Amino acid sequence: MVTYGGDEVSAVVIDVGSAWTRAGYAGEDTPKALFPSAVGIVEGQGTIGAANGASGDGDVTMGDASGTIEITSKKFYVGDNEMNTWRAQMDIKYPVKEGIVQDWELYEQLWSYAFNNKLRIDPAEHPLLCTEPAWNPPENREKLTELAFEKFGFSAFYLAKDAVMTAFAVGKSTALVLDTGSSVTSVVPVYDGYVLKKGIAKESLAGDFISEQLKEQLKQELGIDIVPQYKVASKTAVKAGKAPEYQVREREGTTDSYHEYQQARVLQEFKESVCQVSEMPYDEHTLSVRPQKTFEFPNGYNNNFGVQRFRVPETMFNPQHIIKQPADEQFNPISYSRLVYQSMSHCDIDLRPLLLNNVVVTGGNSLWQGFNERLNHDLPQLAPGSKVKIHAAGNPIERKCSSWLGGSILSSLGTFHQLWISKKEYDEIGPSIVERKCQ
Amino acid sequence: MSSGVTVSDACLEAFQQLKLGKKYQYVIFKISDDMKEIVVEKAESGQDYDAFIAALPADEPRYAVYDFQYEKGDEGIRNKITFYTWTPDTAKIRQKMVYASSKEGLRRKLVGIAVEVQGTDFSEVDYQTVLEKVSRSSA
Repeated sequence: MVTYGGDEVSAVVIDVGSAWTRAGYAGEDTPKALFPSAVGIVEGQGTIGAANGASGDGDVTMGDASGTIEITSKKFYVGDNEMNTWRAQMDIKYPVKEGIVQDWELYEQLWSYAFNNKLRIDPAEHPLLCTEPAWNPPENREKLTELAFEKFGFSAFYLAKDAVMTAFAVGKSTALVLDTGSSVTSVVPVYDGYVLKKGIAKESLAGDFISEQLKEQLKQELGIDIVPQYKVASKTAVKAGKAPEYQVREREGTTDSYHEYQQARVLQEFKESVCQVSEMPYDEHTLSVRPQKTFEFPNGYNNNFGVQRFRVPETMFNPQHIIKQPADEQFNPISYSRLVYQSMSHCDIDLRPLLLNNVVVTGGNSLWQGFNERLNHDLPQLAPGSKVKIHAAGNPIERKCSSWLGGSILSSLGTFHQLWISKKEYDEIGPSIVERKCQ
Repeated sequence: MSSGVTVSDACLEAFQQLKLGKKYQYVIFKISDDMKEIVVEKAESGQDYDAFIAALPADEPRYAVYDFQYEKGDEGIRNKITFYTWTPDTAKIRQKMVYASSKEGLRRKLVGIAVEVQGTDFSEVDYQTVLEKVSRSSA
């Protein structure tokens, strides 16, 4: 049993986002484990021939060994390496969407991988701090509490709002937190360390959506399809803009989700190394004089990208630039600056100047070059007369893991320990205790 | 939500003396080095605003209260007690986190604060900016 009050409590902190999971020890400034929040699933049927030998770990062929295994047996793969290892019939699924757990069976795999494989801890000896989005429904909060105590057996637990953690990590107890990740972009007003629920604004115009748009742009404008590395057996160097010359590696039994996952990785690299947000509203003439950037795709196709590299990121600030309409008709994208404005205008009028003066930008999708400058340009135009100040950590790791970092510092404080939900309290009251202790 | 950092009695006492006893012009609070409680770092009397600002460290967070005095047109001289959360951008992230998450504990105990100021650089706490805030507030 852990005793509280002492400084050495070695808490563990986990932050599961839609795309990445961060886990590590409290008090450290970067998470020990950072891996995709994706789970590869191979249904246990004897279809995988040993001749494939793709995985090399022998585990996949478990199904073959026993011959007649029932379809329900599943094998799960988690972690960056596992995710990129090609396996026949491996489906890739994301248990978390827009910050909310969708599939608890798979979600458990992420925790288990983080605690058992990566950190290698005995949960009974550690308290756990888990972050959650501000809009997490009460059922989910109780379920997380249950998972921590019943399934994993942690000695104490705390659930912290990610927006509050982010605000604290930049030294603010009042802030308007714009968090843009892979599946959701949200603006959450935080006042004195509490989330103002009515001011939460979010939309699914985020990293994944931009990647989809880029894929469409590349297809429409240059007629190229993204061929991920796993399909390329060999390639020859070609001149810029020329059709690629490469040998396709036949991969029987590749699932669509695996292909998409790999395509997304290429697009991610493309986004990071080529694309950029225009600091001013998109204008083809001014942007065409900007330097071009070169990118080579895994199949050898390469080209210089000029004004194109600004067009898709522009969507975030002007959704009229959307190339391919989203499948979901309910989805009516608005620009990020408008989203911030919308959130703010749902808050008390006396708070608005304070919130605008403390806009905190975080999330992996905010790392575009030019992103902050653009927000700084657009936002004051929506709210004339008010002083707008945007704060963003300069360090990319801090921006990608800001809520983890906040949780890490908070849970390393000796004084924080009185706030944990202890196992004893949980046993007495049950999962509903989370509503009382973790506001 | 808060960090559980406690407020020492000396803080309240100093605040009372500023508010009722008018003994101090300003009080600066800090979190003790073991990060367990908020303590009084400095309490001064008869200092002007510049001296107060100069007493804030450039790269460490602090809390402070200042007895702000100003003239309201013809209505005479007014006093407003202002509360400062000073977190310069250059402060260490751990300190920022601790100060931000502990602020509420202190703020709640200090009754009679008219205006709150969040400052990350000296321009946000300069006399004119604060004066504007103070004279706008009706409390």
